[in-house]
Amino acid sequence: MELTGAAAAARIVIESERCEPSHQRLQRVFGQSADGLYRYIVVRVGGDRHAADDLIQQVCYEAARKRAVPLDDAQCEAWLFGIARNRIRKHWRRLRRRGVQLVGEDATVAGELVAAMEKGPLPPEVLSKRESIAQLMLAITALPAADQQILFAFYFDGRPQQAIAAERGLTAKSVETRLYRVRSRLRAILSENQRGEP
Amino acid sequence: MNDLDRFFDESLAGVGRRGTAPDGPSPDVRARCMAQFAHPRMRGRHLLRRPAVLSTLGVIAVIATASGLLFPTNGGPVVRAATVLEKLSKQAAGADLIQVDLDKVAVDEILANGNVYLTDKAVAGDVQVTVSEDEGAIEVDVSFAVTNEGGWVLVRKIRMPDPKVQVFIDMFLPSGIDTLIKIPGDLVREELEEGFDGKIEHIQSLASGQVAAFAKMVLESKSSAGATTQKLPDGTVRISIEIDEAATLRNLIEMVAAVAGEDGEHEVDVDDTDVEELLGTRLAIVYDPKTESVRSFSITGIHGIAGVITVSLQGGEIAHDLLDSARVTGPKTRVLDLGALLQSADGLKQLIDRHHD
Repeated sequence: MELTGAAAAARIVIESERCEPSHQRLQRVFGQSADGLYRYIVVRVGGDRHAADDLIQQVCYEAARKRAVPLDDAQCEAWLFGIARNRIRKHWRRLRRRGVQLVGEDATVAGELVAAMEKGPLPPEVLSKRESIAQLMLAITALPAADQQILFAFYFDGRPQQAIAAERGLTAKSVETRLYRVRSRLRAILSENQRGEP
Repeated sequence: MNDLDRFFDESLAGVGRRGTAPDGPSPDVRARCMAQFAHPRMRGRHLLRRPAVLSTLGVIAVIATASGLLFPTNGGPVVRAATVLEKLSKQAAGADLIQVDLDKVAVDEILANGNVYLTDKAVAGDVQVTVSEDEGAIEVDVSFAVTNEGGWVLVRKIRMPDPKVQVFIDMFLPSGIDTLIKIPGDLVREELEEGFDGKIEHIQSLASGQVAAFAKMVLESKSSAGATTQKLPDGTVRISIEIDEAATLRNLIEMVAAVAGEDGEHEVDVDDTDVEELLGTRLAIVYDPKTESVRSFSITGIHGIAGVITVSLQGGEIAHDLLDSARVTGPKTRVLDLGALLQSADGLKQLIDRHHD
């Protein structure tokens, strides 16, 4: 409840010593992660941008209502993704009643991709499968927004590591290292999907 | 390059060449999202947009209390408190009053007990709030009353989990002494007007319109909607509904839709995905058949909210209750005039200097 004037004020007094007000933090973190969050949603609603537009606004509305906003930026972003995940579940529960098929992680396809990783480069016949691409996109968009950005810049936009580094004030070596970490995280996400983990 | 790198170089570049990377939100959608965070008052579906008002008062309370070291004021504190309250009661007299009772209401880490009184010109109440933090709990016990003309906050207790902050608080809120802070109207007028913004009328309209029509329909046995009724000694009827299964909820929704249909101005839009969140909710309406009006309605067990919230529509007990609050504070109350304080630049300078010392 919001009937907590002095309590809220007291909290503000404390928070002001260690961090910015929660609505400013949400604004900032959302500003940094909006693209990644939107991709996370749009991929999971089968590319329906109208649904994604609605859902991301619902996520923000719900987040803005919460009193307990994580103080750490990374936790705050993960928290927004968690709200989005619940909203998407609700969205699919509604559609399932109308017989619409769920767009989601496919353990079999994820398993094939993980198996392919063990052998080397992805065979063209696997890469050409829509299911494979869908699973990869689900895994990619489950990454933190910053990881998504660097991955899309390098692999999708074809930008050289030097250019990415210059845009972000990093060295080319650090971009290479971050890409390596992103790939490792992707592999972990695909492995989780293979095991049917959330 | 190892196998994993080769895999992703091949596969991700392949996906990328197919142009399947989705864009971010459109500028319009992004702006709408950002707007949610830009205005703290838009954070939720509250009865009133009170947080900003009360937070401001809370901050003022802390500042003013701190300043009390520089401006100790005395002279019949109980009498002066009563004077403020009598003035308030005159302002509120004749106005429709909404009372919101909070009985162990818990939302996330916040636990609240107390009463808040609302009119279209004033907000007042007695609240005890505990906010659980990782490092402990913030405990606050205050009474407050604010109108466009001004107001006051009576601080009984503020306890912080951080010992350093508590030391700071203890300096200005000595144990056993209550502090009554007078607030000039120009400090709160704008916030108060924004905070009300037609919300009181909306609650009154809801209670006297749809809720009353719903209660009447239940009593006339047009549909039970899973309700039980109990006649009370004063002639009113208590209608209780426990939404324990989907069928009950469907009946309730149909009744509400019927009421809205009769009203002719409202449409009921029910999101069936929220049904499971409503299961376990209990509603209670106290209805006066003679006047066909709702005395109060309460809701318990909403998903994510523990405790009982009761909204009552009644007339004019505000002054009596609040005077009692002030009287029980006893003689150890000091009064701080925030208006006089803020007018004194020299006083603020001394406060800052003292703080640095």
